[in-house]
Amino acid sequence: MCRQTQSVSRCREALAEMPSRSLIKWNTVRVSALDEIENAHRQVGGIGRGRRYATQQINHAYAVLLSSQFQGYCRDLHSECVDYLMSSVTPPTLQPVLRAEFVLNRKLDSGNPNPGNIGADFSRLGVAFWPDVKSLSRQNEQRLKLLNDLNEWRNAIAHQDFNPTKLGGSKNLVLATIRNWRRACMGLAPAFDTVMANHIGIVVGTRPW
Amino acid sequence: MRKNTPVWEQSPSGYHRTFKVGDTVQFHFVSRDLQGRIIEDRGAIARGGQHLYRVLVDTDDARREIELPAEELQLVALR
Repeated sequence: MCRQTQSVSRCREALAEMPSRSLIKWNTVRVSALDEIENAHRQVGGIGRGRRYATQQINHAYAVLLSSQFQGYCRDLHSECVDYLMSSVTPPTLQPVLRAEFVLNRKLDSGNPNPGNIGADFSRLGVAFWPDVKSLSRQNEQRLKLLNDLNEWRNAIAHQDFNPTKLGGSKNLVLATIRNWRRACMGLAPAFDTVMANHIGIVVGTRPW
Repeated sequence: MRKNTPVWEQSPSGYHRTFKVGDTVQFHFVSRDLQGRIIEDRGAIARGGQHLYRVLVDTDDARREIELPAEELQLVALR
């Protein structure tokens, strides 16, 4: 009886907070792409101990893919939020003007999804982004650091510049580290979604999703 | 060959127009109509499941990019 009550309660909480289209795409299309490279890792190297060939290159590709997919999600979410906010602007003739301004020089269009770029773009929409994200869960502070580490490695791989002092003391990237980063992204994605839904709900008067 | 009319796509909230990268479109901007070229389909992330499009506008004033939902765009010419 107690377990049934708990599961019904969780179900109601889940229904009360519907995800954005961007988060749905993250949880389906983008995560599937990450699963594909995870599977490729297993097929090339196997799962046992011992020497495995080419896994370092696959790890590099995995890290870059993770960073790019997370960038894609953040960019999608930003665009979705701008669209919702603009629909409530009056007079309507101002809407395209503001739309253009909110995507002008958007860092997520070409830059990495590091905390600085993400915070800069979302803060333009009037939200205290990182304080709100951190307030949702104590784990988000650590997730933020892991996101930073992911982006440091992403840059190192892209530029082939492996400076151990920037990469946690090692030039060797292991799968366990990437899985840790992925778990951080999996935790941050719904947190961003919730923060922006709450913010738009306050600004516009109704939650967007 | 596609006719010179938008393609309609069904989403959970109804029918919406869709365009392709390279299409020339027109939209209302304050007091005038501007034309631009679609440079990116952002996917069905706009309100009601519409597609959002990134449009490049190149005028005498400036070269700007703007993201607009399908309902605010009119097809001028195919790519």
